[in-house]
Amino acid sequence: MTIRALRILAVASVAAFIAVSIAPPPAGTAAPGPSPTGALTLYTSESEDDVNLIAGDFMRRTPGVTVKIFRAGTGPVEAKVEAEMQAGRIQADVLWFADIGFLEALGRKGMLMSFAPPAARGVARQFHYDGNQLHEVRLIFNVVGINTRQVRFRPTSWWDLARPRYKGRAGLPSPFVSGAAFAHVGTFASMRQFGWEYYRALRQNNAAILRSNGDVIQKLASGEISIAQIVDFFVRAARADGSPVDAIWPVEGAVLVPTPVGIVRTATNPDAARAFVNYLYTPEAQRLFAQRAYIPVRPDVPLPPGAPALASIKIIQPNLEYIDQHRDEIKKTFTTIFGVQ
Amino acid sequence: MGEGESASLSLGLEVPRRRAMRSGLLGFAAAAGATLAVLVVYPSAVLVVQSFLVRGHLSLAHYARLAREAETYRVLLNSVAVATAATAGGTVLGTALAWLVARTDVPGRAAWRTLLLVPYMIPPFIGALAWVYLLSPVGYLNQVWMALTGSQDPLLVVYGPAGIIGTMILYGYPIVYLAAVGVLERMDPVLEEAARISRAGPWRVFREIACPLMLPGVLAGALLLMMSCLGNFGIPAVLGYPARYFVLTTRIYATILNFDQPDNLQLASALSMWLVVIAGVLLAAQRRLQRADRFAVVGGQATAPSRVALGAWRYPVLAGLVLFVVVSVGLPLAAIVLTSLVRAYGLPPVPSNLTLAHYGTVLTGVPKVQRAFVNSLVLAAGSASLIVALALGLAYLGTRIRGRGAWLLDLLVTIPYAVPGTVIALAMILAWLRPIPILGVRLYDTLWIILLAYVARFLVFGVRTVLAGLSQIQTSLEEAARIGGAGPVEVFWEILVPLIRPSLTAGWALAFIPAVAELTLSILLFSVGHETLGVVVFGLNDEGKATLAAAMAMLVTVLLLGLNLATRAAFRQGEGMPHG
Repeated sequence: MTIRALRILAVASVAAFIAVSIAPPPAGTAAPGPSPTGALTLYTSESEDDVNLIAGDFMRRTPGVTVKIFRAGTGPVEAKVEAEMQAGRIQADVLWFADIGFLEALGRKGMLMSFAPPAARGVARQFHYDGNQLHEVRLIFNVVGINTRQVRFRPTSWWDLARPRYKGRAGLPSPFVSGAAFAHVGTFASMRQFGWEYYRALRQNNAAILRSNGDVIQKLASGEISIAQIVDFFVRAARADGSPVDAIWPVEGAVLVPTPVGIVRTATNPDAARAFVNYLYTPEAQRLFAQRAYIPVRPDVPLPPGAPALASIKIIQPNLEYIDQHRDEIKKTFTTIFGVQ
Repeated sequence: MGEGESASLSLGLEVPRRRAMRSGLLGFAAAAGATLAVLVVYPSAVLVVQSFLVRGHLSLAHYARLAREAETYRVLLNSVAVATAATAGGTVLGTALAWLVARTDVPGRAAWRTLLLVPYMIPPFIGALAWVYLLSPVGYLNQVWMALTGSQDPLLVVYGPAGIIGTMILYGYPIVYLAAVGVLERMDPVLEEAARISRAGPWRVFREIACPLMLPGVLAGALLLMMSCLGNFGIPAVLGYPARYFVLTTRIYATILNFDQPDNLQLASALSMWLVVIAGVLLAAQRRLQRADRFAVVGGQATAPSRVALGAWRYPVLAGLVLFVVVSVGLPLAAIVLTSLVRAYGLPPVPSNLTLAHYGTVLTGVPKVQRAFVNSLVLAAGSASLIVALALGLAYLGTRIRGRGAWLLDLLVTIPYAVPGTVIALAMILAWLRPIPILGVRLYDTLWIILLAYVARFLVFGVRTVLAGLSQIQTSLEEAARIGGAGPVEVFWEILVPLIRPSLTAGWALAFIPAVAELTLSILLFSVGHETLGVVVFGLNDEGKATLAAAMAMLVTVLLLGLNLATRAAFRQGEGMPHG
C-alpha cells in the first residue's frame, strides 16, 4: 500500500464513518397531516424478526417514515429509558415491551401520550389501559413448554416442573432479564395455590434460571432442559420451524403477559408514532402477528396454527397491583431462593 | 484482540531527540495531546469521581456497601481464580508449543507457526459459543459420548469455572506463545548445543536450558495474558451464566443494566475499581520486569539456530500437535458450521436436516446484520486511521517532551488496553451520557461513542508500531533534506512518513483487526442502528436464534481469519507480523 493510498483510505474511512453516523434527520416539528414523514424511533423487547417484519410492512404502507429500532431484552431496554430520563429526555417515540408496571409508572409521571387508535374499533376495551396511554396489540401467555423427544407423558400442571422426574431438567427465564418472567413470578408469588412455595419446590428440583425466553427455547429445543416455563409463541414458532417442542396449557391457567405499546409524550415525531400504533391494529398487521404465531387481539383475524381459541384459554391475570407494590421484595425473595440475579 | 500483541505494552518513547519539533508540527502534536485528554483523561476522571457519588453527593457509601456484601468478595475471588488458572495453563501451553515450533525438528514447522496462531484469530466469545455447541449437556461431543457408552450423563459440561478457564487457555495461549517464540528466535543456541553435546535429552534441554532463558520474556507474556483473561467478558458471559458463575466483568455488566438499583452506574464504577487496581498491579509488574530484563544470552544477532532433534519423539509430538489443533480449532469450527446448517435447532445434524437457508436469512433477511457489517468495518477503519494519525502526533509530542513526562504519555496510551474493556465502556457511558456542554451534542447513542472507545482501547497497538518504525530511521536522511532546504513539515511528510510507511500500515492493520469483531465495548455502547458484528452474534443467540447466531458466527470467523491471514501474508518477513 502506498502512502497515498493509505491517506486516501484514511480520509475515505473517516468520510464513510461520518456518513454512517449521521442519522437521517429527525422530523423536527412534524407538520400535522395524514401522511407522517421522517424517522420514528422504537424501543422494544419484541423479537428481532417480528419487529423487523412489522416495521418493514409499516414502512411500505407509510412511505416517508423510517422506523429505527433499538431491540434488547426488557431489562436492557428499560435501563436505556431510565438512563435517558436521567439525562433529560427519552430518545424514543414509541415504547413496546413486556413490563406493564414500568410503562404504567412512566404514564403516571406524565411521560406517555393518550391516543385512541381509529383502527382498534371492534377490539375489546380491556386491551387499552390507563386512559389510552397503553395498548395491547396481540396476546401472549406464559405456558409450560416441553421437549417432545424427552417428555413422553404430557404434563398438565405448573407443578409438573417440580416433579422429581424432571430434577435438573426444568428451566425458567430469569425475571431479571425477561419482563414476562417477572410478571409471572410476581403473579405466582401473590397466588395462594403457588406462592413462594412453588419457587422453593423448583429450587429443590434444581430448576435452571436461564436468561431470556430465547435462551429457554434454545435449551428446550436442544434438549438441554426437558420442561420449561416459557412464552407460548416461542414454542409455536420453534415448532413450526421443526424443532421438537410443544406448548402445554396448564390446568391452573396460562399467565397473560401484557406487552403494551405506548407513545412517548415528548416524541420527536408524534405523527409517525400515532400512525405506527394505529397500524398495529389494522387487519394487515394483525395477520402478520398471527403469521408469527401470536394470538391477535382482533376477533376477525384467524388464529395461528396450534393456538387455542381465546375463549377456551383459562387466563391467569397478572397481579399488577401486587407486582407494583412488591417489586423489590419479589426480586429479593427470588434472589434469596435461587441465589442468582 | 489482535495478533500484534508482543509481550510488552511499553511504547519505548525514547525516540531520539534529533527530531525536535518545529512550528507546523507543534499544532499536530498539541492536537494529539488534546485528543488523548478527551479520550482517556476525562473518562477516567469521571469514572473515579462517579464511584464516590451517591445521588449526586460525595460519599463512600458505594464502597462501604460493596465491602459489606459477600457477593463482592465471591466475584473478586472468581475473577482472580479464573484469570490465574487460565494464565498458568496458557503460559505452560504457549511456552511448550513455542519451543516445539521454534527449537525442535518437528515436521512441518512453518505450517504449525501459523496454525498455532489461529485460535487467537477467533473472537473469544465465538470460541465460547462453539464450545457450548460441543460441550453443553446435550452438545455434540456429549451426545456422541452418550450414544457410544449408553450413559445418561454427559462426559463434560463446559458451563462454569472449569469451562471458562479451559476456553480462556485455548484462545489466550497464543499471547504467551508469541512472546516465547520472539525470545527463542533471538536466543543464542550455543547453550542448547552444549547441553546436547553432553547428551542431555530434549526434555532436559527444554527444562534446564531453554526455560530459564525464556523466563523473563515468557513472564511478560504471562502478565499480558492475565490482563486479557481478567478483562475478558465474552467467555464468562457465555459460559458463566448457565452455571450462575459471575466474574467481575460480567457482574459489572449486570450492574450497569440493573436500572432498578438507584445509582447503578455509580455502584458499577466502584466495583470497577477492583479491576483498575489489579490491572495497575499487573502493569507495574510488567514495567519492572522490563527494566530488569536485559539478559545477555538473548542476543540480537540472528545466529542460524540449530534444532533440537526430537528423535523417537518426533512423530508422537507431531501427532500431539495435530490433535491439539483439531481440538482447539477443528472441532469448534465444525460445531459452528454444523449448528448453522441444521434446519431447526434441536434436530439431529443428519443430512436430511441440513440446509443453507440460515446463511440466506442472516445475509438478506435481518437488516441489522447488513448494518452491523457496515458499522463494524467503518468503525474499525475509522478507529485504525485515527489511531495511526494520533500515533504520529504522539511520536512528535514524545520528542518534544524529551523524557520528562514521557512516562505519562506512555501510561495514558497503555491504560485503556490494560484496564478491562467493560470498565472502559462504563467510563465512556458516564463521560458521554449527557450532551456535551456548550456544543449540546450527545455522543451516547451514536456511533461516535463506540469510535472513541475503540480508538482509546486499541491505540497502544498503533502507537507502539509507529514508534518502533520511527526509532529505526537514521537522522542523516532528515539532515540531508534540511540542508537541501526542506522545512520541518516537508521533512515530516516527504521523508519520515514514506520511510515508516510499513509501520504505519502495520499499525493500521493491528488496530483494525481487533475492532472488527469487538464485543465487550460495543455490547454496552451500541444503540439503535449502531450495532456491531459482535453485538449481532450475541443478540441473535440471546433471542433464541441459535442457528442464525451460528451462521453469523461462521461469517465473522471467516472474515477475521481472512483478515488475519492476509495481514500476515503481507508482512511475511521472517516471523511475519512486526511485534512492536
